[in-house]
Amino acid sequence: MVLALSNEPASKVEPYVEQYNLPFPVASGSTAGGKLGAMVGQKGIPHSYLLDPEGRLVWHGHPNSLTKKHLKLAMAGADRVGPKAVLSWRGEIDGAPPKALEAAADGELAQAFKLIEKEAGSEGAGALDESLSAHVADLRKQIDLAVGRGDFGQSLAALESLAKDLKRHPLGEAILERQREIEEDETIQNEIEAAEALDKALELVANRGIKKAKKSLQSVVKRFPSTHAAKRARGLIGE
Amino acid sequence: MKRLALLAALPLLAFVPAEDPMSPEIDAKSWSRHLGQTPSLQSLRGRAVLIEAWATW
Repeated sequence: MVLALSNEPASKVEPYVEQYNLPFPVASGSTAGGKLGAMVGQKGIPHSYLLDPEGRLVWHGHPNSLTKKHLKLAMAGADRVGPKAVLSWRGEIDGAPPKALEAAADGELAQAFKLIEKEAGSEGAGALDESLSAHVADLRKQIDLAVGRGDFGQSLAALESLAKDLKRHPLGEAILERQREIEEDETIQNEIEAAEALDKALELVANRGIKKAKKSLQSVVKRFPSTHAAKRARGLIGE
Repeated sequence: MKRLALLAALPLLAFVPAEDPMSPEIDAKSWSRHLGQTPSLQSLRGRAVLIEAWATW
């Protein structure tokens, strides 16, 4: 998991994230980078810090000095991450059914809700039910924001995972409905097609450079002129 | 000779590598581009995490 931490305000960070379409979580107003630096006597940035699955700092250095060997060592003993990882919820709630907490941590939200129901009436179960319901609501909001800015890859995969997991739970109805809305929305479908075309053009950019990929990028602009993908393509061509 | 070897080894025997320190909590006033539970040491337990400390300047 990659996290970028800046101590700057969102008003500075978010336009940058948007302009460069950063593909990982970015924090604004974070003090953790400074605290990590203080721990190891590092003042400058950029600087990378590698944590193992227990949250221990196992390596730090300039981003250019990170190697596969460092990553391999840090990842030893890490959980396997599948499509349900985005659904995962971890927390400590007194009296919550332990197996429900385990299921929630594994992203098995329907299973967690089922186990909570078996202990309905207990304070801990009630608190966990509230937390998981809020978590599902948060996920839906994040997915909608991502779809709204034309970021389809991870968000639609997350929506699919959520819909599959909760298909027999009351919360699942609204999620399935949202899936149907997206499938029937011509504007969104056009955006998705444009995003896929841009992804192919970006592969060319990565493998052969912008000059060789220019025609592909121009094709995205021509075929899907008013999409987020076209805007990004224009930015890359310099139009 | 054996005594010499033992004496030479003492500094090595005394050396105990310090355990890798725990990271401070991952905090933020807001997050962009993340899907899922808000990143924290707890929510990310079980996963290796690469933190990039950076700025827009």
